[in-house]
Parts: sequence; C-alpha cells; structure tokens
Amino acid sequence: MTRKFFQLFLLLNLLSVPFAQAQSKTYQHYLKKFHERKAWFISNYDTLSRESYSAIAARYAMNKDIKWADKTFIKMLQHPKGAMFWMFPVVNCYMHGKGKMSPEVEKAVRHAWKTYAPSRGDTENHWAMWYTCLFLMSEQWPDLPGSEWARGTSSEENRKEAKEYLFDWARITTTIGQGEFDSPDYILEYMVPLTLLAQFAQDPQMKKLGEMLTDYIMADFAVEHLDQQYIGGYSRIYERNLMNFHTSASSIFAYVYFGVGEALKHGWVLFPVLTDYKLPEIIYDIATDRSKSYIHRERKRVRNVIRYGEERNPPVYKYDYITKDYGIGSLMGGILQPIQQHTWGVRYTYGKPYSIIFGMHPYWSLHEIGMFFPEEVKTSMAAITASKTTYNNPDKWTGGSPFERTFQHKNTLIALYDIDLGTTSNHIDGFFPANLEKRIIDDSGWIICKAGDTYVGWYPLQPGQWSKEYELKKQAYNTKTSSSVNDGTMKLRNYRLRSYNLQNGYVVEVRSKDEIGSFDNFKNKLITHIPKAAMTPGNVSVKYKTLDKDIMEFAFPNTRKLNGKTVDLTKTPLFEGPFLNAEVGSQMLTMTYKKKKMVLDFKKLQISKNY
Amino acid sequence: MRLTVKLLRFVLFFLCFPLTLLFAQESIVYVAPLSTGFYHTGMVIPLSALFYKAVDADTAWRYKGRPNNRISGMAFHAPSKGKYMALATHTGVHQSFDYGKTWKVTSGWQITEVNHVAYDPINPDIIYCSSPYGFYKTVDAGKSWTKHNKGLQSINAQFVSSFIIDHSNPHVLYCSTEDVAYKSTDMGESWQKMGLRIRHIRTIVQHPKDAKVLAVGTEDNGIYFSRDGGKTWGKRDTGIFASTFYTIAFDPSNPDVIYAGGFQTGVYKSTDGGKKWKQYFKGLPILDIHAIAIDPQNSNRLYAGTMGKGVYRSDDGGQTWAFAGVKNGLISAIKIESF
Repeated sequence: MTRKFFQLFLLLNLLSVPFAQAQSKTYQHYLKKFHERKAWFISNYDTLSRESYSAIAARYAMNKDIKWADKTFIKMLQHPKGAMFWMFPVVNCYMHGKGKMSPEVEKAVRHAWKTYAPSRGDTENHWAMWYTCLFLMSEQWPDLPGSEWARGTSSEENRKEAKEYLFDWARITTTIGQGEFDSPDYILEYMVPLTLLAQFAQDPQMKKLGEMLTDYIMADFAVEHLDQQYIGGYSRIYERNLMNFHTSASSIFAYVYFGVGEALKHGWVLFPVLTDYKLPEIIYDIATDRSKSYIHRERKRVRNVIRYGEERNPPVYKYDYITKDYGIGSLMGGILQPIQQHTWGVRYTYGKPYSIIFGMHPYWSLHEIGMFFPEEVKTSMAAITASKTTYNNPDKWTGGSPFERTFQHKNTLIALYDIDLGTTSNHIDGFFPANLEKRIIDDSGWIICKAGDTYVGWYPLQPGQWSKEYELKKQAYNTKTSSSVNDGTMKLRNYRLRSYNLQNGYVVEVRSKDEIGSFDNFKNKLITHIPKAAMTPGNVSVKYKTLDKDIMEFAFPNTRKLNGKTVDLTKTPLFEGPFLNAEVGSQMLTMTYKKKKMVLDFKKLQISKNY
Repeated sequence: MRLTVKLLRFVLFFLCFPLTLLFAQESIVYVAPLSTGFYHTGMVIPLSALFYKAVDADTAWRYKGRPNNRISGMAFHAPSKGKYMALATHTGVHQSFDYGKTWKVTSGWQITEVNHVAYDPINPDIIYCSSPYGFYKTVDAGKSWTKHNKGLQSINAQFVSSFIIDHSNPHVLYCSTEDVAYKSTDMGESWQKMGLRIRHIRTIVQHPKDAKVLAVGTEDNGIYFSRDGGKTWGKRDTGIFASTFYTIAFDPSNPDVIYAGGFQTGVYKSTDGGKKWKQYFKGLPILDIHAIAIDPQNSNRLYAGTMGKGVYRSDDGGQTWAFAGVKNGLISAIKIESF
C-alpha cells in the first residue's frame, strides 16, 4: 500500500513538472516586450558613429561592422586610462568580439593587460568590477606567468584572488548586508560586473555566483521599486539624481527589466543589456505588483569604519511603506555612509521625475572623512571636495548626520535633530518640489501638500523660513548644489524650508486618495493631530498620535516606542516583508509572490523555485 | 709611544683612504608619492609612482614603478643592497626581487590601504606591513600573510599608521596607531600598550644610536619622547606652535639634531635632542610636510616631502629650501640609500 502510494506520488510529481516550469502568459508577454526593449536599447549603440566602448561592444555583439569595431578598439587600447572603469568596457568589448575580431585586436588587448595595471580603487563597487574583470580575463589566458600581467601575478594567482574575494563579498552581503546598498546610481556598478560574470565565466561556480548575485541585486531593487523610482533611503546618490530620478541608472534598469516608465538610455547600462540576463518571473512580479500596500524592512551595513568607531560594520536599519501611489522609506539616521547618504524620502507617482519630498541636516566633518578614508585627516577635505563638490556646502541636499535620527511607522515618519553647537551647519532643511499641486501652510502648523493622488503633511517642530531654488544648468552641478538666484532663464525647481534651531524635528504623514479620500478630508484630519514635543539640548523628544491612531513616542537619539511598546531595531532581519525574507547570517534569500517561491541559497550556491 | 701611535694612525689613514674611495657609494634619494598632480581620495593619478634620483642631479628623477598606486611607504632590504624592495600601496604590498626592474603584487585582497612596510633586517623573506585593518607579517616573501592583531583590540588600535623594528634587537617592534603606541617583543606576533596615553599617533621613530630613545608625532598633541624604551614619555614642545606631526627624523651623524614636520608646520629643527625647537619654512610653498630625510653623507643636506607641492631640498640644515622635483607630488615617504 505504502509502495503504491509512493509510486502514485512520484507519477503525479513527474506529470506536474512541465506545468510547473511553464512560463505564465504574463511572463511570456513580458519577455516578448523585454526583447523589444533590448533591441531598441542596443540599436542606439550598434550604429553609433562616436568612438566609444559601447559602440564597439554593440557592434561585436550584433556582428555588425566588425572592421569599424576592430579599428576603433585598437585605437582606444593605445592609451589605456582609468581603473575599473577602463576594465569593464574593455572586457565587454573583448568578450563580445571574441571569434569575430582580427588577430591584431586580440594582440592589442593582450598587450594592454600585460602593460597596463589599473588601480583596484577603494570602494565595494570598485572591487566588484575590478575582481570580476581580472577573473574573466585570466580565464581567457589561463596559463600565463606573472610577467605577462601588469600586476606581476600569474593567471592562476589572479583567478584565485578574484574568486576568493567575490565569494567573500557574497558571503558578507548575504550575512550582514550590502555596504553600498540601495543606490539608484551605483546599482549600475554592480549590474555590469555581475551580469558579465554570469554570462562569460567558465568556472561554473563563478558563473552561478554571478547569476545569483544579479538576481539578488535586482530583487533588492524590485521590492523597493515604484513606477521607475527606487524608494529611499540610499547609501549613495548624486544630488542631481536625487531630484530628477531619470538620471539615475536604476530608472534605466526599471525601464529595460521591469518594463516601467520612460525609455531612457546610458552607455554603460548597455553592457548588462548585451548579456543574456533575463529577470526571473518572480522578480518581475515583485517589481510591478502594487495592488496591495506593504511594509518592508531591511538590514544593511555601514561601509568599513577604519577609525573613530567601535564596530567595523555597524548595522543599518531601513523601513519602507509602499503603495501604488507612493513610497516612504527611511534609514534610522546617523552617519551610515560617507558623503552621499540619503536618509529618508517620500516618492510618488505624480510629477515625475521631480517627485520627492525629504529633509536633512547638511553636516560634514573631518571626523566623518577620517572614519572611512585612510589619508591624513587634516588635509583630506580638499581631496574629498575635488570629486564630491557639494560635500562641505551648507546648502547641499545629500549626506548623513550624527545629529539626525528617524522613526517610521507605516506612512508616518518622525525626524529629530539634536545638533551640537559649533558643528558644521546650524540648520536643517526640507525639500519641496516646485511642481506640487498644492503646498498649503496651515495655521495649525502643518504644511499640507498635494501631489496628484498623494497627500503629504509636514509638521515642523520649530519655526523656519522658505526660499526658492532654481534648476541648474547641467554643468553647474559640478560646482554648486543649488541656486537661489534666477538669471531670468531658469526654471523654479524647489522650495527650501530652513530652520535654524539646533534642537529640531518634524513629523511627516503621507496618505493617498485611496487611503483617506479627498485632499480636504486629509487636511481636516491632519490639523487636529498636533505633535507634543520637547526641544531642549539633550532632551529632544516628541509624542504623536498618527492619523491611524497609533501612538509614536520618540526621544533622540534612539528611544522609539509604538503604542507604548519599545521598538527594537536590532531584531531587524536582512529582509522582511511580503515579498523578500532573509535572516541575518543565513546566506539565503527567499522570494515569495502569491504561490510562487524562489530561493537563492548562497551556502549551497543553488537557486530553487516552485514555479 | 705617542709618536708611535701617531705614526700608526697616519699609516692606517693612508692605507684606508683609497679603500674608502673605492667603496664610497653615491646616495640615492627614493621618493614615494601618494599622488602627483591634483589629488582625489579614491582616485588614482596615473603618474603616481615611485621615483628615485641621484642626490646631485637636481631634478632628474628616474621612474622606478609602480603606476596607478597610491604609495604610502617603501622598504629596502639593506644586506642585499636593494635587490629586494617593497612598496606599501593602497592595493597591497608590491615587491621587486631584481632591484626594482620588475614588480609583483605579493599580498592578496585581504591586505589593502597599506600604510607602512619593512623588511626584517636579516631575512628578506620576513616582511611586515600595516594598514587601517591591523598588522601583517609574511615569512615566505609574501606568498602568504598572517594578520597579527593580538593586543590591538579596538578599531583605532588596528589602524597602524607606522612601525619600526628596533635596530638593537629585531625581535622588538614598535608601532603607532590611532589608539596609542604599542610594543611587540615577539616579532610582531602580539602587542602591548606602551606608557604613552596620548591617542592618534601618526609616526614613531627610534634614535639611531640609543635604542631606548623613541619619539612619536601625534595628530593633536605634538611630539613626545621616551628615553626608556617606551615606558615613560614626556612632551617636548618648547618653540613648537603646531600640534600635528607626520614625520620625525634624527640626523644619523649627530642624533641631537632632530627634524619634524606635519600639518601646517614647515620644518621644525632641534639641535639639543628635542628640548627646544625652531621653525623653518623659507622657500617652502606650503607648510604641510609628510616626510623628511637627511643625507647620511652630508648632515646639512636634507629633503622634505610636501603634501601637494613635491620634494624640496635644503643644503643648510633646513634653514632654506628649494624645489627638488616631483612637481605637485603629495609625498608620503622619502628614503636615502647608497644603492
């Protein structure tokens, strides 16, 4: 009886395999459209006359005009310049051109790798690109001695070091979280090497690792995606891209891989697009289904702290609330990443790509630089501001602060500031885009904004002043953060709410039309909810009853209570929500969408799914 | 008797003088720039490399390698006359086994942002290096490295900015950290705090003759000296109007003469073993100094590495300075060797 039952069970399972592995009609349609988008994207480059690695790689990949590609590639290889940003375009061109390019080009590529030693850089994305490229090229010439490589190490030594590092990076990322996490800009610098690895690695373990990490990065984006936007906070973002999300790489990935939003292009995004990487169906579902609102939590890690700290990689706690109309997300505050941190923001589907409201304390210090960079601290400010020009600008719009903390519960956020006297910037700023439908400064103290079907209320806990800022010409972003002077041709970009009190804060409430009805209804309810705050040095706290009648109590820096119960952030898993779940230390990410399930098991280097 | 001694000395002098001439080696100045030209953290300027020159050739610097690296320090294995060289770079330890003709990265991905490197004075297979992540040692010329942070417990203690090997006992090492200064008596295997309670130590040096005399330059507290091997320390700052010191150099032929430089310091000089100091900056375009080296064959000639304006030379014991090369270089280290 047992044996017959077992045979029947086996038969049913075997029969179910073709059905389980069949692609859904929705996904088949998605793939058809995805290939159309890919074809459009590539077509922007495979006939491009401008000499660029993208134009070369596209021609090789599409087997078009190989003579032009050969000639241009040889020319560009004559003067290698740059570090990993030289390596990955060259590797892409070589991989796509192999078997098509002339022996002279092959020789020129080999010569470049023998004589030119690109720097390894010093960030997580640098190393991901650098080691991936070193590994792949060392597979192409697998048995060369050190004298044939510019860094003096043999092909075997290169592969060993690169493999060790990339596996270790994957282990850390899936154990305590990524360091350069959730970056709308730097997602590109991960997608490029990881898709390369997945496509071209000959070592099956490395190929699998590339495939799994690509899925991991895309799943991490998908779950915080709303209508081509990445819901913040972010570890790193350039200021211009914060205000206009179309200029971030994540928006281009959202278009190509999620099929959402405007068609955008970027020469480096071409490289992942040229590979065979396809978004798994479940990640597509997670990225695009916003039929139900959800809370999503994450744990990431601080970049390596090398001095002035107690812990090498302290945890970062992130909280998101995402609906079909808006997403509000926050990091808990403090210095979590140097220079380009974005701590919290509300993004919505109205007024794109200028669709964000956020606040911050514009802080900078030699202490912060010293925490993360090894150079002599007192002379390092010039070095930082040479490339990150807004870092020490009191009007800047990116950066973390040790004097800032947040507490978010669903669609309500409280930010508190207890700023030391004498520190850089004695003010906090709020960013309100100029294209809001309404921005009402109500007698109750609330600033009440309407952005289509999304309503945002902002209650300042201290008085402030408003000023106007205008859209900068593109090149001006390299030197300035904002302009309050209109030369007559400039477009109003945003209103800045600045408050000079050192003990400070605000409460932000966000609701959609679906959640609360009309804007007037939102306004009328909001003005009866007035926060109670204490604002003295060393005692900055607030008690607030949300529109959903939850009681939030928050005392700077880290006392958070919800309905009388202490909120313990330290229990935050790597991922927790309806779509993604992962425990700290597990090296395993479980994706869930309705009845579909997919697991990335980095311990076993295995992908499993039930659909 | 006196006449006999005089005669003997006279004979010895004339016997030895030609030998001295025969073996006299020209001093070579080696310079390690963190960068040349405009300098970005995280960005490497292609010209960044190791340079060297003959002392008397004004600005005719000769390139030795290693491009695309921020070089923080360098080491030569003296008994082999520079056959073995090592560089401390942001991409690890690079070594040459052929007098600097070819180079190889001899540390893996675990070792990065290296601050300092040194050979064991006898065995070139034993190399030490330090980084913001701690202290490392190899006993097989870089084939494998082990981290030795025993005793360096905190994040600040693991940021080892520099270290020295005791010239009287190679089993003893001293290191400066972002915490305090530490001592090892087992060739860097483990570390113990020394008596100095000042934090954020940027450099540590040893008297060339009296091994018990040590000096440290600090981030915010000037210069401290110990005369008992690190047990007790005292601040020596008469005449000093600065707080941050990255480099201290004893004159090898007269160790009572000491030079020091740092942030906004110019070059400070003491002629009484550090009791009193005098500041010099005539001819220097900036006051930020990261390296000082004294010509062992000519005490009046010394070199200063500035933080962004290259190398400057003084031929009058530091009183006046003139540009000597590596334009716009942010010079992290200078060494003068006779090979």
